[in-house]
Amino acid sequence: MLGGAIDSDSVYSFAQPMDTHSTASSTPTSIAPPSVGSARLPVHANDVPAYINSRTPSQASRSSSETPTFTSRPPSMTSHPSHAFPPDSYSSTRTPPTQSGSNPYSSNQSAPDSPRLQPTHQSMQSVPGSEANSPSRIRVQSLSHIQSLANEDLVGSRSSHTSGTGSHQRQYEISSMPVTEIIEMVAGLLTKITTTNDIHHEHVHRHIPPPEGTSNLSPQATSVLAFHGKNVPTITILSYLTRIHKYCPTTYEVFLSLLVYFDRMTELVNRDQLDTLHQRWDSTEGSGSSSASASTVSGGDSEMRDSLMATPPHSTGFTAQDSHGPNTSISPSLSPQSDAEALSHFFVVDSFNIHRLVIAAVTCASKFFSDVFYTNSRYAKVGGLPLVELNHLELQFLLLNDFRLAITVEELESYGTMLVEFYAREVVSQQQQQHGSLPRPIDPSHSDAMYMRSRDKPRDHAELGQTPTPP
Amino acid sequence: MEHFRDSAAPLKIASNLVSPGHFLFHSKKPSGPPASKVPQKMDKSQQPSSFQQLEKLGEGTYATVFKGRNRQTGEMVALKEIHLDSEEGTPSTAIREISLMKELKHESIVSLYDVIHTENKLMLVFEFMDRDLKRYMDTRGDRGQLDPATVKSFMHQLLKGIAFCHDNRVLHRDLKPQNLLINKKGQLKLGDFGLARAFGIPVNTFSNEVVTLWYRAPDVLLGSRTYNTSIDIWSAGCIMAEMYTGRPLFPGTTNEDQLIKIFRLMGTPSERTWPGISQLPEYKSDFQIYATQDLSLIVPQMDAIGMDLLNRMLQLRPEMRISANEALQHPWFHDLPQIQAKLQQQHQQQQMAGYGGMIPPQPAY
Repeated sequence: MLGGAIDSDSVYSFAQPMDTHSTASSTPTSIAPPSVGSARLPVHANDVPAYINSRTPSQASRSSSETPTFTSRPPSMTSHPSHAFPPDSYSSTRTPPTQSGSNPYSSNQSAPDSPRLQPTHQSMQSVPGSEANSPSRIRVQSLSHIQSLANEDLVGSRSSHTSGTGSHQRQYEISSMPVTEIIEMVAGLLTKITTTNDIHHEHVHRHIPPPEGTSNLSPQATSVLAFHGKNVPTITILSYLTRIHKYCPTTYEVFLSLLVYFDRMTELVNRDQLDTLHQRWDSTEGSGSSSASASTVSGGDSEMRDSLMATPPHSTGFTAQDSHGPNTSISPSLSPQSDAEALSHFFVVDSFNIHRLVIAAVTCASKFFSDVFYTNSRYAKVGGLPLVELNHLELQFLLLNDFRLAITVEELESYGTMLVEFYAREVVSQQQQQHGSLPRPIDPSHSDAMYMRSRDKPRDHAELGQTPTPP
Repeated sequence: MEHFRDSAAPLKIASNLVSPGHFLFHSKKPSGPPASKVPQKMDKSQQPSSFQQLEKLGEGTYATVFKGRNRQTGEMVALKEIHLDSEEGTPSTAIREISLMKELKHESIVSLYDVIHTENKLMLVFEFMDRDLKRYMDTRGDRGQLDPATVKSFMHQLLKGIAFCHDNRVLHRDLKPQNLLINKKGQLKLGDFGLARAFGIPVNTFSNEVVTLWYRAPDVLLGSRTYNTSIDIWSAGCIMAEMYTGRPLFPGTTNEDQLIKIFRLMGTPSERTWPGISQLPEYKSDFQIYATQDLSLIVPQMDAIGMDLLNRMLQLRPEMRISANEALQHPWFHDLPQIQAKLQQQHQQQQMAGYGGMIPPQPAY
C-alpha cells in the first residue's frame, strides 16, 4: 500500500458490514453536510464503518488502474479521523440558502429563494402504485413469489424463449417487492455478466496502458479506464449492493436503473470502438496506409453491433486479415495502437470495474431519481473508496451516459419484467438443481462461493492473490 | 501480442462481451433494450474556450451565469457555470437539470445546447434569453402590471411549456417569474429545472421542500408528499394573477403565514370541502376560519373568462385543479390568434424603435 500506514487487509474481506465494530469507528468530525430532514435513518450515520481508503488525494486522483483501491483498514482498527457524520448534523430545521443580495435587480418586494434539494436523511415515504393486478400484469411480491410462479412455469425459460414480440407479453411489476430482494436479482444478473466477461479479461484488459500513457487516449477511453481496478475487490456484488442499501437506503428504481445505464454505456462506447476497429481494417485492406480511412461503415458493422449488444456470439462474415500494419492511425482522437489495445477501450462490465461502476451509478441515480440522497462523502465511505475518486468517477459516469439519466417508465418497467424472468430462469433453476427443494433466496455464504473470484496480482497483495475460480 | 495475429480476434472477443441487456432481452428483443434513448454519439465535447465569456448575468446558490458568445458562429448564449463541490460531488440540481433538459425539447422550454466539463466545474450552454419575467414586469409593465394581451400570450406559452413537461412525466416544481425567461420576440420559456424531477414510477420519494414559498401549492404546504402535476398549475395561477397586478398574490413569510394568506383569500378548507385534508401532516384543526373571497376584488383588471380560468387553477384541492392541457383549451385562449397578431405588430414597432435598457441578470438559467 502506497500510503504505508494502513494494513492491507481488504475491507471487503468482511462479508458483513459489522455493527459490532461500529462504536470503535465512530469518530465524529466536524465535517457535516448541509442537510434537511427530520427522521433518522434506520441505521445511524455513525454506524457506517470508516471504510476510507488511506490513499492521499493526490494519489487517489491518479488513474485508478495504477493504485489498488477498495482497500482500507477494517473499521475495528480505525484510529485516524473518520468521516463519520455527527448525528446533530441532520437537524430538522432547514437553513435557507444564504443568498441575500443575489437578486439585486428585483424590486422592493423580492421573492423568497427557491428551495434546494439537499443531501438528507429523511425517511422513506412510499407512494403506493395504483396499477392493479391483471392477467398480463402481475404484481410480484417477493422472490418466493417468483419462485412459485417459476414452478408453475408462468415465468422463466420456456415461456420467454418461445414468446415472440407479437404474442401477449406478461409484465411483472416489482415495485412492491422489498428492495433487498430486488437487489438480489440485480446482483444475480450483474454477477452473471461479470462472470461471463471475466473469461475474456485477459484479452480485454491485459493491455491497459500505464497511467503515464493515458494522456493521449481519447476522453472516452480515459473515462472507461477510470473504473478499472487493478484488483478485484473481495466483496461480492450482492454484499456490496446490500451494504450500500443499508447505509444509503434508497428506492428500488435506483438499483434497477443501474442495468439501464450499463447497457447504455456499453452501447455508446462500444459502438464508437467498433467503428474504430472496422476503420482500421478498412485502412489496412486498402493499398496505401491512409487511403481508406474513416469513411465507410459496412453492413457487417451494424450486425456486429447487434451481436455485441444482444445476441449470443456468432461470427459474422468477417475474414481474418493481417492488420498489423504499423501505425495505422485512424481517428484523430485515438492514438496509434494495436487492435489489442483497442479492445481495452471497450466498455466491459467485469469484476475489475463493477464495484466502482455500482457506487458511481448509485450516487448519480439517487441524485437524479430521488429527493432523498446523501453527500458524496457518505457514498464514498460506504463504497469504500476515497471521496476524490468517487467525485471523479461520478463525473466519468455522467459523461459515459452523455448526461442522460432520464429513463422512461416503460423502459424501467420492461427492465423490471425482464429481471424477474431472468431471475426465474437463472437463479431459481440453479437453486433447484443445487438444493433439490425450494430454497431460500441466495444465501450470502453460498453466493460468496459461487460468485466471488479474485484475480489480484500477487505482487501487490499477496494475501489476495487467489487463483481465479470461475464457476 | 501473438494472441492477435488474427486481426478479427478483437471483434470476436468483442462480440462475446455482454451487458445487462444481453441476458435480459436476448430472448425477446433481438435488437436490445426497448425505447432506449441511446444518443447517436457522445458529445464531442467542446472546450470552454469555444465561448467568449461576457458579463455576469446572475449568481445562484450553485451556479454563476454569464453571457457568452460562440466564437465560431457569433451566436449569443448563456453560460451557466456549476462548481463541483467536493463533499457533495456533482450537485443533484445539475444532474437533474441536464438529464431532463436534454430530453425536453420544446419551443416553450429554454434549450440546453451543450455541456462542457472540466474536473472541477461544469458549464451548461443555454439558448440566450433577454430577461426573466420578474425583470420584464419591473421594466416593461406599468408598476409591474402587464397589459391583458401580453398576459394572455405569456400564459399560453407558460401552459404549453408546463403541458409538455407533464406529458413527458416531468414536474418542474419551481415555477415563478424569476424562472420564466422572455426574449425579444415576446417568447416565454421555462428555465431552471434544478428542482424538477421525473414522476410516474410507482414507488417513489417526494420531498415537500419544493417550490419557492409564494408559489407553493396548499397541499405541499400542508406536508403532502404525494403531490403531482397540479402543484405546477398552482404556481401558474399565482403567476397569472401577478402578471395582472404586478404584485405577488400570496407573499407569505413562513410556511404557516403562506397558508393563512391563501386561506384568507380562497377560504379555509375543511374535511367537507377537501376530503382527506385532516390526514396531511401539517393540517391543524384550529386553522383560522376564513370565508372565500371573490378573486376579482384582488385582480380587478381581469376579465370574467380569465377569472374563470384563474379560479380553476387556484383550487385548494389538488384533484380539482385544471390540468395544463385542459387549461390550453379554455375559452379564454380562443381569441389568442388575433392577440398574437397584434402583439407581433407591437414587437416589430419596438424593435424599430430600439429595445432600450441594459440586459438584466438572469437568475433563471
